[in-house]
Amino acid sequence: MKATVLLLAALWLGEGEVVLGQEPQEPPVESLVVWLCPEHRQHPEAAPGSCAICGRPLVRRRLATPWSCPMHPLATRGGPGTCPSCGMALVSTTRELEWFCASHPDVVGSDPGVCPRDGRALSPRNLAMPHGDHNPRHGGLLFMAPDGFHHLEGALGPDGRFRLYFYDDFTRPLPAGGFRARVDERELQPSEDGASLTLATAEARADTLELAVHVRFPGSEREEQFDFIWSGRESGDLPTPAASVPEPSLAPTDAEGLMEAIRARSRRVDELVRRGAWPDLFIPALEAKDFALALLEHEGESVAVPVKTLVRAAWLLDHYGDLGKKAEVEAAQRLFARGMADLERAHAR
Amino acid sequence: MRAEWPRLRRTLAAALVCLAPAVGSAHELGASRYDFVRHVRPLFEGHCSSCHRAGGIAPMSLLRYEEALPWANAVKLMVLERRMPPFLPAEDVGSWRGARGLTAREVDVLVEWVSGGAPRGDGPEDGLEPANPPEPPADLVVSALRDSVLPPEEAERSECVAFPVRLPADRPLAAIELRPGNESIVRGAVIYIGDTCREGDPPVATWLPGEGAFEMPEGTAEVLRRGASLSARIHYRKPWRLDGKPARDRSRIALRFAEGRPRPLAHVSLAAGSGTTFERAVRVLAVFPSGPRGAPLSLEAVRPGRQTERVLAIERFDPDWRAKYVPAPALALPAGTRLTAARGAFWIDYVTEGAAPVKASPRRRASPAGSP
Repeated sequence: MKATVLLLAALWLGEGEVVLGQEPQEPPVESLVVWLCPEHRQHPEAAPGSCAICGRPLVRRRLATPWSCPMHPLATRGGPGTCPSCGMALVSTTRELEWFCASHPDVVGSDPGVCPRDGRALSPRNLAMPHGDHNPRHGGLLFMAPDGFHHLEGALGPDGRFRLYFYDDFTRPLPAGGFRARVDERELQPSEDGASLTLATAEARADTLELAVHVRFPGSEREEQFDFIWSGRESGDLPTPAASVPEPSLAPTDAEGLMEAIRARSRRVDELVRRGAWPDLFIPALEAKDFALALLEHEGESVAVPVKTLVRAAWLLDHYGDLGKKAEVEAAQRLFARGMADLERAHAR
Repeated sequence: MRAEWPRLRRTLAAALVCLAPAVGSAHELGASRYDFVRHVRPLFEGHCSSCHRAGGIAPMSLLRYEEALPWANAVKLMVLERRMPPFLPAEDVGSWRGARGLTAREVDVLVEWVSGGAPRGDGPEDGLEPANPPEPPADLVVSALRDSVLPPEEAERSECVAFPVRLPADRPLAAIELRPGNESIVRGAVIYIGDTCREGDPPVATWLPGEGAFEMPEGTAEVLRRGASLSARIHYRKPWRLDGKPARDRSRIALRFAEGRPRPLAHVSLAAGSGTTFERAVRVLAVFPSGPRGAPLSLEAVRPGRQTERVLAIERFDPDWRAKYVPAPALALPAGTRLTAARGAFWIDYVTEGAAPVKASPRRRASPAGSP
């Protein structure tokens, strides 16, 4: 355990990197090389250099999107499946991928290869990273706070009790004691185990439940509002935990195919907004704008204005969907719908 | 600024699964496909540097990575909400001279850059600050009579500044330009004939940062009478770096006179909810909207036998960016067309088809509900 902690610390400080004295090998899994400042990791660069903020040398890192158990993050695999420990469905995450020497844990690199100390193949592993996992832990809806650090998940239990969980930027649980929250004038109360703030909801049996939760974060007097919506509950149409990765698909190459792909994403946007599954909005929304931009290449200026509207709306859905802002999400949806209508007209012409 | 790894996750997935052939080797990609030096700075330089440069009126330069980075998220939202670059008319209604805005692709590049962690990229930030372009030639440049002063405790003010032109004879104006004495605090100006900035008069020109002279459209002219002055309602606002400090400005107005016999402009004022019917065919050459901050504005036309069409639409009016908008090409309206200020108020500049050029016609005004 101690070795692991030291290794992690060394990695975070950028001092665990070793030069293996050979050409880097390609890893067996799909991944992406980035160069990160050990201090300012939120600004990944595509090439080596020094940090534009603090001047420290950037370190080479490799990012991958393994599937991980929400409750047992070390259980990862390359694709969907279930957790061998608890049986929960795996969810997609973004993690750092690295290779280490089993006999000398200080030997760490961002590429596969051979350990220079013992001559054996390096072993792969992956590490959590900030904002690499926005998947809910309790089957609820997970939003990010405007401070970019805190995250919170609202879950509605079968007993009708609303539970609010808090996390850091690694989606690690935080004790609920330092937080305050209210719905209208009703203050949420700490749960017995201190893991959440809770509220009994009289509306629990309604088909649609909407809670505007006002939260104060530790050290701040300012309240932030998060809007949780559960829709279609009696029909069993509950929001699923964030399925945070798009289905792999080949992009259509002709205008009609692109239009059809955009329409399908538009329908998905509508559905997710209706269900309150806002954290997932970015998938169909950003796919739609990518297809719209491809359509722009086909159809040119005649669709330029509606494509731009869709691009703006898609990124707004993404932005406000993450933050759980109902009014802003709905405004972005209206903009998206307007862009779709204008695009249909322009395309028909 | 926070990183948005969910977007990275999607970008990764998209790049690795779908788009990699189109964008190169996945291993060459950063979390964002775009970086500041190669992709974003050129956008800032092209669209934003008239204000967002060292010494410019904006509170920060966007031309240096270190200065732009803390503002990246704010820039993203301003662009997505179409608050920046500042150009108020809706893009899908009408076509306007000097329209400012990013293309769909440019918006996407900028926002993906922010959402992907705002990488700097390699290489120098070339051309760090654009030099001020040389002042274009003018026939006459007139300075304000006195300095306008913002004391330390005053951050913003709207002030009527007089420019004593006082020509010895009537002259038609082809172009008018405000030239700020202190670029850091002059946010905009509405220019009037006369020395009192009378809101009841049609503005002769407007000026905003980054814009040059206001050119009278299509060979028309405003006639400046012998002995007349000009005045400008100048909007002053200090950038944060001047908070608590005094600031002063003495702006100038540059004039270019029209050659030959330009056609005179006519004006009609439409109060909110009012309209006017043109008995003869006209060409609308400029529109000056006004209304409450944040309000939607809409100017509509009904041609004979046709349905209502929007001429100008503004989703959220911002009086900080008041401007005269020049349709390009001019909006030709047949006789019998009714123009209505559905939301907000408007000054309309127009010429009547077939009207003879007049060397120095008096300014004509019509009542809001009049029939010009």
